[in-house]
Amino acid sequence: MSDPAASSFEWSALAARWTGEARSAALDAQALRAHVTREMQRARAWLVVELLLTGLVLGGGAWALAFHRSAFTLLLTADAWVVLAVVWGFAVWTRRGTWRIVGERTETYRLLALRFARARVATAWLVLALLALQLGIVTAAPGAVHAGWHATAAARSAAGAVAIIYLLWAVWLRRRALREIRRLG
Amino acid sequence: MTGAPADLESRDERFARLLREHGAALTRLASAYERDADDREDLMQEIAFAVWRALPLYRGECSERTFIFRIGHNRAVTHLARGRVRRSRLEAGAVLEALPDPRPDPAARTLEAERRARLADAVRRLRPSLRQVVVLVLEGLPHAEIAEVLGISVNAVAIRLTRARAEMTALFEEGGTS
Repeated sequence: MSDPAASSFEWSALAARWTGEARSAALDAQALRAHVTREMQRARAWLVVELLLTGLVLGGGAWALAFHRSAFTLLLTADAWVVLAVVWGFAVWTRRGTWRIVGERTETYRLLALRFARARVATAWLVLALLALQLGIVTAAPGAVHAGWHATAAARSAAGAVAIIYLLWAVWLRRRALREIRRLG
Repeated sequence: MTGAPADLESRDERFARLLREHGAALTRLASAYERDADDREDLMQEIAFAVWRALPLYRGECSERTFIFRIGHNRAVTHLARGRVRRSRLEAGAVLEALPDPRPDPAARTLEAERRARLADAVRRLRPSLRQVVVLVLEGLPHAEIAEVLGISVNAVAIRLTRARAEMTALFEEGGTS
């Protein structure tokens, strides 16, 4: 205990040390501004990718219905569109107000951050539920649909790969969100 | 607060001014959460991005300093909760204390650096709820403004400070730099 400020616990002396000249290095504002620009570009790029994927699913479904109408394409398109609507609805609902809250009081922010973390757990469960639903549809589909589904090995492989990726992502998301909830709590 | 009236500034100008006015305080805040230089830089980038995103939503309901500290602490809370923490590759307190000290006397510099290291390490070892209050006290905010930043009562600020004092005293006594 050679430190007088620490031993007598003078906040003002500790504050002087805390804010002292040697600890007040200037920020590299330009580098931070460049980082902000990169993050904004990345966010825009993600949005474009999401919109393109949505357009692809919507357009692909419409094309299939227009030129290859069958019980199989009808079910596949309806299924894809419903899943799309659910995913978009859920994404908008869970992301609402995300950036507004960052300027909130810290205690309010903590509670809202907990809510968002719980929403991510719900997202993981939603993905698992949707995957289970897809599996159910494929296995329980009537004969003509079932035959259509089994038409090409490439389609089956692609669907399987996508399902595995989503499954792994959901498991990872849930674990991460649960850890966050533990720490925020 | 200094500078041009906020409503006449562009978002870019305002962002630059806020970093100029509060950048050092934000750096110290980040250092209270991250010892490692890379982790601290990550946190600073997160805070800067959050400030940028939140700027259009600032309506002057509180002072800019309060607003900036709220964002800083909020991002730090998320940063800690998400576990973006690498194992420190440096000895306790070695990072922010490595900044140059202008005083000529090497012995005085060393002693002061040790004390700064001990203080910084003690702050980092506090629970986040106590650490937030201590950082704001060390930044010179009055209790009422701390309560405004954190969204707790002034009484709660006083209670947390008392607990923090007890914990920091214990940390100082044990050397505080494990």
